[in-house]
Amino acid sequence: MYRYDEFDEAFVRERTRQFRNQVARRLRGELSEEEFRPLRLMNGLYLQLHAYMLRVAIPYGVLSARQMRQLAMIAERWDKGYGHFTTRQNIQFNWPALKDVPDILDALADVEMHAIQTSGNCIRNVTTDQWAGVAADEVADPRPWCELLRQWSSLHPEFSFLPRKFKIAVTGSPHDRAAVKVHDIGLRMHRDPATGEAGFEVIVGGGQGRTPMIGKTIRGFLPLHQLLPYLSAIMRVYNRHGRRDNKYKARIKILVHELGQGEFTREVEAEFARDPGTDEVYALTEAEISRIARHFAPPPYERLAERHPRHDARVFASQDFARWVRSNTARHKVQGYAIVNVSLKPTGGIPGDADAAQMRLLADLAERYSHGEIRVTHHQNLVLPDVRLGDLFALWEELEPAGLGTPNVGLLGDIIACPGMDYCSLATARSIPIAQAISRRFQDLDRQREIGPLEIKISGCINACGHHHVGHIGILGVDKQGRELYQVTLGGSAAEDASLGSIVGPGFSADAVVDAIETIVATYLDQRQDGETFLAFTHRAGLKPFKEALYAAAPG
Amino acid sequence: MSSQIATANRLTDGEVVFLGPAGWVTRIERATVARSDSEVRALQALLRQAEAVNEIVDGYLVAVEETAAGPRPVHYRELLRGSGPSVRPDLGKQASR
Amino acid sequence: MPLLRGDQVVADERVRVPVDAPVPAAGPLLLDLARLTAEAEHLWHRPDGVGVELLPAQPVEALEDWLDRLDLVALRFPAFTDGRPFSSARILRARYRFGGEIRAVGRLIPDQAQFLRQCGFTTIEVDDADLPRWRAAQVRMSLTYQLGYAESAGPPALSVFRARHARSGRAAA
Ligand code: SF4
Repeated sequence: MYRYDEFDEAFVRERTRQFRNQVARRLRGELSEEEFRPLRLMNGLYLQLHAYMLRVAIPYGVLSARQMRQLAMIAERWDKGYGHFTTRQNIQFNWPALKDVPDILDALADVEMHAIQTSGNCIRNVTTDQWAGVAADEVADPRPWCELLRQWSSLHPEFSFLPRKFKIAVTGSPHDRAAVKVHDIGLRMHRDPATGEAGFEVIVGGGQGRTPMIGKTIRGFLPLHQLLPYLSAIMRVYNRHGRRDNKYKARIKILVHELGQGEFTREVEAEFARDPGTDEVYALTEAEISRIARHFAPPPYERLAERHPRHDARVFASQDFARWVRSNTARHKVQGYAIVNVSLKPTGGIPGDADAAQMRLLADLAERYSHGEIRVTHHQNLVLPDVRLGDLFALWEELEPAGLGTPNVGLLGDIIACPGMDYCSLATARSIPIAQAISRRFQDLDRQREIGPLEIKISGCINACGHHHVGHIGILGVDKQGRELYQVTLGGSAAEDASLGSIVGPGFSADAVVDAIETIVATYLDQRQDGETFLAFTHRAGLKPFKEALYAAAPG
Repeated sequence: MSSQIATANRLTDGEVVFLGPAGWVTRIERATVARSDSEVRALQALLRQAEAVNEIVDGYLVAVEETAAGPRPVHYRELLRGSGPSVRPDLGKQASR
Repeated sequence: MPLLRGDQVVADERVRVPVDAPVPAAGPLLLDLARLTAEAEHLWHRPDGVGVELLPAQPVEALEDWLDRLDLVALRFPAFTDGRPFSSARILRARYRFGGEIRAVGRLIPDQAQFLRQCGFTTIEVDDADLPRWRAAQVRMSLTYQLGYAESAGPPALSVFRARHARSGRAAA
C-alpha cells in the first residue's frame, strides 16, 4: 500500500499544526463559531446530536494493521472505545472533545492519516472497489490513480470552495463494486478494444440525496495520462456554473441535468481543449504514477495449488465454516488465495461499528494472514484481501468468537444503515434500530441463503448517506407530524446495472416496517422464477405484486 | 404557548447542556422552564450572551411538557438528545442515570 | 480600505466611480463592467491605469478584448464560500496570461490567503479592523500538490510533484 514520503508527511504535519492554531484561537474566543465552523469542517470535525464527531479519511478504504491499531488507540484514549465505519469507506468517532482534536490529528499523522476534506464543499475522500488489486475480474488497478487523486485534490487552491461537496469513485473492474454511477464523477477503467490501451470512462452527475440521479458518460475513453487536466476541466465548469442560489440544487448532477448531457459535455471538452495540460503536467503525472504504482506492487504471493485438500475437508466437515466460506469469501486473482469479507453486521448489531478490541484483533489477523492490509467497504464491512486457502479455517475460528464472522455478506442481514437520529443532527428519524430489528427477524442464516442476494439500505434522512435509493430494498426515515415514519423503495441498484428504487406506497411506522419487509420478501419468494434474484424479480414484476401484498388487506 | 427550555452544546467538549437557574447544566431535569413570552425572551437573551462569550455553541429553544420528573421534550429528537443514542444505552447521559 | 499585498499593507489609490457620476479626468480608476463596456473607447489614453471589478457571475471572457490595456481586475466574493473568483483568477493568469494586478474584494476569511495567491491574486482588500486577524492567520502551508498554481506568488510554496521529480532526476544522474 501507499507509504508517505517526507513531502506527504510534512504536508499533513503542517496542516495539523495549522488546525491546532485554529482550535487554540477558537478556545481563546478569538474566532467566533461562524468563523470557526468552515475551518473545523475542512478538518472533518462536525457538531452532532450529542457531541462533536470526527470523520477520519481512510483513503480509498485501504488501512494497514498499524493504522487500525492506532484507530483503536484513539477510540479508547479520546473517544468511547469504538468507531463507526461509513458508506464512504471512512471511520467516524462520535465523542471527541474539541480540545483533544489536535492531539487526535497528531496521532493520526503518526500513522500517515488525516481528516482533511472529509467534510465541506470540496473534493472528498476518493473511494474505490474494496477488492482493488486482488479481484479476479479486474482490468486495471485503480489504487495508484486514487492516490494521485488524493494528492491532487488535497487543499486544491481553485476547487476548495465548490457549490457543494464533491465525490469521486473509481473502479477497475467491469463488475462495479464502487457505485461509480451514483457519484459526482465516476471513473471506470477499461481497455480500448482495438489497441488494448487502458483508459477511463468518465461518468458525471450521478448522486443520491434529495434528487437521485444516475451519472452520464461524457467521455467513453480518456487516456490515462490526461486524467488530471480533464478532471480540472470538469471541476472548473462546475465551479463556475454550478448553482449557488439553492443548496439543494448545487450538486453537479443538477448542472448536468439543467444544461443537458450534450451541452455539459461540450463545455467540458471546450475547457479541456483550452487548458489541456502542459508537457510538464503529463511528464510529472507519468513519473508520479509510476512512483505511486510501485507502492501497489503485488505482495510476495506464494505459488499455491488451486485447491487445498485440508481446506476442502474442513468445508466438508463443518457446516458453519462452509456457510461462511460461501458467503464471506470471494475469488482472488492469485490461485490458492481468497478475499475474505469480514461482516460488521452481527445479528442485532449496529452496522459498521467496531470496538477497539475488534480493531486490534483485525490488525493482528491482517498481519498474520493477509500481508498486514485491511480494506473498508462502502457496505460498512471490512476485507482481508490476501488470505491463503489453507489459512481460512484458522482465521474463521478467530473471527467467529469476536462477533466478526457472521456469514451474511451480500445477504439480507448485511444491511447498510447510516447513523440516523441516534447520532446525526440532520436526521429526521432513526435508522439503526430498524436495521437491528430486521436483522433479528431474519436471523436464520439458512433462510437468508434461501432468499439469496438482497441489499437493504437505510437512511435517516433525505441526504441518503445510507444509500436507500440504490438498495434492492431502500428504507428512508422521515418525520411525519412528530413520529418516525419509514418509506420503502424497491428495485434500486448501485452496481453496473445502476438503477433508482421506486417508492412502493405509503410509509410504515417503526413497528410496522419489519412486517412490511417480511411481506415483501414473502411475495418475492412466492412468485420468483427459477434462479431469479430479488432485484431481477422487482425489475420484471414491478411494484404491483408488492403493493397488492402490502396494502390490499388494509381497509380503504 | 408551550413551555420552553434552552439547550446547546458546550464549546470545549460538545456535551449537550441546558440552561439552569445558575448556569449551564448537563441534566435536562435541572433546566429552567420558560412559560411566558417574557420568560422565553429572557432565556433567548441568556443563550445569545453565552454564545457571545463562547461558552456554548448552536443554542436553541426546545418545546417541553412539564412532568413530575421535570421538563420532557415534546419531539423525539430532543428526547434522544437529552438521553443519548437509543441503540447504546451504555453511552451518553442515560448511562449515568 | 487597505490592501494586503503579500505580507505588506498598502493603500488603495483607485478611484471608484459611482453609477451616475462622470469619470474623473485623472487618477487610476476602478470601474464596474457596465461602465467599462460603455466608456471603453474614452479610457485607453489615460496614463493612470484602468481597472475593472467583476461580480462572480460575470465571466472573465467578457474582458478578452481589453485585457492588454487593463492593469487591474478586481474579483468580488459575495461570500467566502463562493469559490467562483478562484477560477476567474486562474483563467486570467493561465489562459490569458494577464500580468496586471488581480485583487480579491468582498467577504473572505484569512485562512483563504494562500489559495488566493496560488490562483493568481496579488492583493486582498481587508478591513482595517480585520488586519490583525489576517496577520495572525498567516500560518502558511509550504507545500502544494497542484501544478501551475503560481507557487511562486509570495514566499514560494513548493510543488510536491515537481520536487519529487527533480530529486529522482538527480538520483538517476
Ligand atoms: S442520511 Fe441523514 S441521518 Fe443519515 S447520516 Fe446522512 S445526514 Fe445523517
